[in-house]
Amino acid sequence: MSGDLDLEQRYRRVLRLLPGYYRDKWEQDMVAAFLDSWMTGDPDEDSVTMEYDRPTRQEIASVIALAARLYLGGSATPRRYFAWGQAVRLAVLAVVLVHATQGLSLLTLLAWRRHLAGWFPALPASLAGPVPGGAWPTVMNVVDCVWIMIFVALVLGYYRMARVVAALAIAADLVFLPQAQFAGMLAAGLMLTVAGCGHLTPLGPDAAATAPPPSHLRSPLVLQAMRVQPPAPAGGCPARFTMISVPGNPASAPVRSVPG
Amino acid sequence: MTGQAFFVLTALADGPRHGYGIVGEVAELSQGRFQLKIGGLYGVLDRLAAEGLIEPDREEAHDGRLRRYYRLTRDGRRALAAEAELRAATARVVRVRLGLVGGEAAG
Repeated sequence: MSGDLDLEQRYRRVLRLLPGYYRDKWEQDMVAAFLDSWMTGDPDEDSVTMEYDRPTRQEIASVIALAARLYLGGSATPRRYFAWGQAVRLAVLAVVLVHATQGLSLLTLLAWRRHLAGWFPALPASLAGPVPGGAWPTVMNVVDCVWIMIFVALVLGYYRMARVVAALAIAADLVFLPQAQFAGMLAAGLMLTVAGCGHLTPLGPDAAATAPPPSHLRSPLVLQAMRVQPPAPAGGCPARFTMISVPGNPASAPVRSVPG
Repeated sequence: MTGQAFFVLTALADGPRHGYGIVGEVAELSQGRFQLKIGGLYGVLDRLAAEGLIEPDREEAHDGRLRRYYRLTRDGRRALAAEAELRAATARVVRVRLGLVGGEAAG
């Protein structure tokens, strides 16, 4: 029972969130620093503090953030954690790539409709409907295209910008699109986690210290991922999307549907 | 170099300090604007130690607990000096551009 623990034991229990190798190295030191922050030098007061006080929410949050960084393999982490972190980074990148591909498809379709690319063949009749107007479709189209920017920012190593813009795009998706496709929700969860960890995230400068983005982003896995088309959501396309065939590209790409 | 790392290195510039001593020094250096959490501090210390910029200095018993002190390495001192120079140069440019001071760079 937590009631039987003193403040030091409560801190040690919180520190169990950290990987074992890290605790072996830093736990004593961290506990001493935590307790130093409480102690006043008055034996009576300190005795009461040790018995009744508990780690603050902010302190627990800082330990959780540190644990997330360590488990996701930031700098100076063992190979096992670094490999796990790389897997998570690639997963996030793949989800962002799906969204970016979607945005690119949308841009292509818009350019095609407006005859901005004269060398394109004639637009198939099935795609030649009116372009939806109004604030709602416009905002959602912009959000789709913003994912292209997010993907490019991640590849070039502009992590902070990518996180900020992704947070805005996700917020727009969550506000305007409760029925978001599964990939969108997955991206939301991942990116919000990333954003929540501040600059100590696996997609931050900390990760870059051990793995410069250009090298790991140029890995064969990523290059392969960049060639694949986004999968269709299970159970068919959501109402917002339709699958079209782009001449010259045998793979189908989802683009936003055009309500009649 | 992140703001946290810069402040931690600066806190160690005039002598070794233990964990909570660094937190207090950083708060003072930043005039209270930068409140390091212990979790954040040890994330920074771990990275700085891995990069060879700080190292353990000594351990002292205090109220039945061991306090470990840290100090700057030679590389840490050099890195901090370079960062301070960079930040000072940036601040000079900002002041000139804002018209707060005159200077040749104003044109």
